[in-house]
Amino acid sequence: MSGLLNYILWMPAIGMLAILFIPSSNKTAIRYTALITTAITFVLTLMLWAGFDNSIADMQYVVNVPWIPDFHINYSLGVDGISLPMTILTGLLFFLCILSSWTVEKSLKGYFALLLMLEATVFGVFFSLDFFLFYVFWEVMLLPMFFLIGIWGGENREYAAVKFFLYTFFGSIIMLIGIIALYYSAGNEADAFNILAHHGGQYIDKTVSIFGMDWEFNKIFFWAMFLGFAIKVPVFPFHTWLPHAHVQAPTAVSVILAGVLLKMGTYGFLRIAFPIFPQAAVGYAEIIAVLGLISVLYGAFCAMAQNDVKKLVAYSSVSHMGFVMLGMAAMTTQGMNGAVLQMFNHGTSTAMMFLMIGVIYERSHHRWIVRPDGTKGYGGIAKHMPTYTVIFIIGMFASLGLPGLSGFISEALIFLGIYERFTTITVIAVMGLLVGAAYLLWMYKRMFFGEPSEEVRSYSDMNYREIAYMLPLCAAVIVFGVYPTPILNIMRASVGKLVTLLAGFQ
Amino acid sequence: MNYTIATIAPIFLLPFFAFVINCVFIKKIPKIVPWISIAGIVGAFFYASAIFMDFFSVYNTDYYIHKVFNWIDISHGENIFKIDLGVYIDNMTAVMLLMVTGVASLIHIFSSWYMKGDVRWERFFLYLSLFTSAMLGLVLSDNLLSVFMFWEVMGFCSYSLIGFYFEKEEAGNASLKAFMTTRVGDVFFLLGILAIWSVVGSVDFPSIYAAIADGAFTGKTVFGMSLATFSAFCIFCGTIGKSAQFPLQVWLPDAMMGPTPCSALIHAATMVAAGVYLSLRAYPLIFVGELNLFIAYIGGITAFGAATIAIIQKDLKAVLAYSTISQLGYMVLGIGVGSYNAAFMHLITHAIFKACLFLAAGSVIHSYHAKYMTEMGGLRKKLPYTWIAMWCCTLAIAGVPFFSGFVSKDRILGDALYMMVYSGIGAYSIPAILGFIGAFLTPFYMFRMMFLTFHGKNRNKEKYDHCHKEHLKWNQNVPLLILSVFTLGVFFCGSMTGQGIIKVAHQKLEWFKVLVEAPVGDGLNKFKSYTKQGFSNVDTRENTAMESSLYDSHYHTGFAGEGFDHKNEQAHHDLHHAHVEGAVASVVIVIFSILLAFAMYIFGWMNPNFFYNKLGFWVKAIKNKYFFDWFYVDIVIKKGLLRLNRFLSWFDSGIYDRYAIDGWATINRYIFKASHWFDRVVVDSIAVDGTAVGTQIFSLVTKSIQSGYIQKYIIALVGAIVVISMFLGF
Repeated sequence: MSGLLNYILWMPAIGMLAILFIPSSNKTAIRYTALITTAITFVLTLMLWAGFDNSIADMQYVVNVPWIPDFHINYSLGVDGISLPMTILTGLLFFLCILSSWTVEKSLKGYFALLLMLEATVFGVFFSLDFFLFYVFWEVMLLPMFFLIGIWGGENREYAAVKFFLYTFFGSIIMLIGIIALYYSAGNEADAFNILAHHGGQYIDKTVSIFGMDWEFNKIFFWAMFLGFAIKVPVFPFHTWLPHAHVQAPTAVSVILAGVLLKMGTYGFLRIAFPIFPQAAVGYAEIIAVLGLISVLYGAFCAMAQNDVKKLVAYSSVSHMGFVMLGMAAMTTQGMNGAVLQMFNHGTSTAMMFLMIGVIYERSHHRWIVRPDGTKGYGGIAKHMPTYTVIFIIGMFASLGLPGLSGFISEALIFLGIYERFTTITVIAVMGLLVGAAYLLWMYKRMFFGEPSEEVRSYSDMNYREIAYMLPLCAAVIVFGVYPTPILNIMRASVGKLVTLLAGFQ
Repeated sequence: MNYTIATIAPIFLLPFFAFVINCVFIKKIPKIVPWISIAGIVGAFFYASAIFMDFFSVYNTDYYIHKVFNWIDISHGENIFKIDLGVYIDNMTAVMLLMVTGVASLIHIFSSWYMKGDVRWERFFLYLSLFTSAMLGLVLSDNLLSVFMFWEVMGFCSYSLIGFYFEKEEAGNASLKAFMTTRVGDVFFLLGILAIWSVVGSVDFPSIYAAIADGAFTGKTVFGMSLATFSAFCIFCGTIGKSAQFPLQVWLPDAMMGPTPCSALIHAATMVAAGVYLSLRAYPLIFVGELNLFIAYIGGITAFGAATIAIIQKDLKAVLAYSTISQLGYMVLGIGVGSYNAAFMHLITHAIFKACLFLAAGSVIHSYHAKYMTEMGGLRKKLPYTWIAMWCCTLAIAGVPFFSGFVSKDRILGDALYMMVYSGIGAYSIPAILGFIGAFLTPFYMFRMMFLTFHGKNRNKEKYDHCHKEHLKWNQNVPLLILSVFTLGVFFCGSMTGQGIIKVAHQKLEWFKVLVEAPVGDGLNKFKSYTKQGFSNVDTRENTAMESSLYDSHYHTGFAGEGFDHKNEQAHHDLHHAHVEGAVASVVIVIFSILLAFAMYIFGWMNPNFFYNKLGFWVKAIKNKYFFDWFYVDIVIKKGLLRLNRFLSWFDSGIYDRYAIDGWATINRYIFKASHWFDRVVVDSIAVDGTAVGTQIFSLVTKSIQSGYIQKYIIALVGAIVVISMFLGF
């Protein structure tokens, strides 16, 4: 089944093409095509998992075909313990997002086609083992996102779409410079674009002259890569595109954005920035940790001030991705595993939050906890919508890190990892848990407690379709909270290899 | 006894399965939900009894069970990282298990009466089962990490149950407050776990104890303080939050918004006691970290402060809430003054009588449909069984001799007195004195509560007539009566007074003192020989450690501050003195206090309002709960945190995003305007069009030259020749 990666990667693209051939009047056919495509893709990712050998740290299912031989560009794919959890997450979330987008009416042919295109590019990013291929997928991904936000978004969608596009594009351009530099630095031309060949940083021990000054190659281009990925994560101070994009994006796109696209940033660190520039990564670990720490606290504090529930959750993503940065900066076994696990767990829990907000948004067409004029937005949902409340509680407590749900174990691993290296940072970061609980519970109190208002009374509780797409996430959040071993087993060999690599440069 | 997964796990799993099964059935067959919950906890009670009986029959302080299994293993190559979870049962655990399952069973049974017909009453049992399983899991845990996990789950259940009547605004506020306040302590607790992990490499109790015995903590510092102090402080912060100690006591009174049985179980008997249990487990660390004095102050202040607030409460449950805080303060004081055994004994005795008090209060409130004592009075005729049960517990909590509260509290006070008078550490005198004043206030407010509720004349005739006379019901007052039996001191201490003034001959009657031994000093070394066993490895060998230290009356009689090195004759003598003096003092104090209560509320010799009006500022402070709520909510949160948040949010979107990020767009706009201008004016108008103009001018000039007249050409030619010749130097 070595071609499994090809199937996973191109399945959504085939689905997209199929949708393009369906007349836009036939909405049911379009929806089911999208659903079946993503369902098959998800099953394929599970097959990938089933055939995956946990004990091997290196790439598996490798596909390597020359693409543009003159420039040593290969179509080379592979999956290891770091990308596999992300792959499964992507497969799952896109499938659920199609279900949640069932009620989209506005030019839905384009919508589903773009969503499927997005899925293909996301898989491409996670599978690519060739810099050129990686960059192509990384950039092409912006296109469907741009249109999905810009066309199906909220009232201020153009601004958000343009901002998202330009900001991340800026990061990618800087990253591209890094890629080109690495291309020319490679002694062996056949490896020039091969990401794995660059691991260990054997080609970067040199200086480079820019603007007439000599720079250490490994430092300057580490920061180039860093910028590209940090914008994607996003790490403070590159985070401001996120609230706009999240608030304006339609539900499914928010879910994908928070659940998958942000992880591409941290994935970039783990796949490219850290292993290729290990000296710089180790040397600058403290700066990365401090940025992560600021993200944790700053995101949490900003989240607490929000009256728009979607914006609140958007800022909470900044905070939670800060934990991932902390775990990566620790560069210990616990910290790194915790970071990758947190990437997965944040994907499920935050997806739950955004989907739940989408559910209530479909009924209320607003997202105010407190309206701008000071009156109450939602209120008393708990009494009126019990099913919604129960699922919301599961998602919320998973997100604030209640033991027994998934968020806790990854945060605990991250803290266990980082304490020994950066004690002071840990002490401050732990306070982020406190603020994290505060903004979520305060939001919960204002939205769910009290007597339901007239408006809230008019909402219907969740229907079966909505419950159906929440249940897999609930199950994931609970099962991996109690027993995270299945996910940890996938990643531990690959993460261990990375930790060993970095430990060599401590 | 053969300890395998089948004999230990059901204690935790039966209530948990009850929770899971109830989750399934809650919509379909809500009627069976309480029965499944009750079945779960009663089943757990039988398993716990079996374990307790085993430990009681072995009767050895060094007897323990330690079973582990691997939870997380992310080792790869040389990078080893594992998290093992497991079960650690020693005498303390066995006692705790018996108490928790027993009290919880009775409370479950009582709830089936109390909650019947209430809104969402099935859901109540759901939370109750989840809570009980978490509490039992915590007690069984062999390590701090799983303690923390169950601890948080209990916090979640507490949150849900406080906010059980979520239609009410106050319930929402109270639940949020409870969760967040305890979370403050929890965050430190987590930090403590990290600090300990960094030294020991794991967080299971025997390993920690062994590490302390090895001196692993000595000489290490963090933030300028010793690592042992730091980690002990962090762990103790968990206790402060969960056990509602000063300065995080504010959440517990508000927690009374929840249904009364949940107050009995969670906010009196088990969860708040789990905080003290944690500190007891971490006692060697506290001891090595020299945190005792700090803890004694926290405990003393809490015991005293909460007791003063309890005096003026009108709400029946509020009196009990403050008395809970106060009694927890005694336990913490006990830890502070090193009376490990007595603190734990007080935890157990308090759990029983306070659970009973809360259930009785629930019985009163539910039957009488009022919660303020100002509307009650004379209820003993209507609710005789509740009345009897409540009196037993009142006598126990008041510290009347022969009741359990006296046995345990008095030993704490005796040790406090020892630390104050004989130890030579003067700083202990303040907590000790606060403790004794608290001991004076406790009987007073409890008797006041009893008198206002059950005695005197009734103050609300309508409700009184409406109230039915109580019959003996298996799920209403039978649990109360069972609990009230165990308020007798003889169950915990053969001498019944705590000080051994009156002794009963049977040796095993002193079981509590004998079996629960503080893990400090030389005793820590024994933990090095403790072995862990996997659950899969069914080993029937009982883990009695190498040397058995059977009951030695001389060695074990009521040590204050085990490890404070007063094994010598003089110290022992002093300790004995202190205890007898303490006992006498507290009996006198209790008598005076009770007399005062009689004088005010029964005989009417003194008017309480007189004192109420006279002590103006003091009363105002007490009424406002010493201004803690005001300080936390109005100052710290509203003026501090929320303003900071709003500022940051404004800065983020209004300043940083708008100028620093979108500013690039503005700069870009200027750049493209400038480049457009440059393009239009310089490049296009001047350079490109200018070239055209220049060409035109040039062509005009050249045009004029090329006139076509031959004579002009000749003139020009001649002129040119002349000029060139001059240049060439002719």
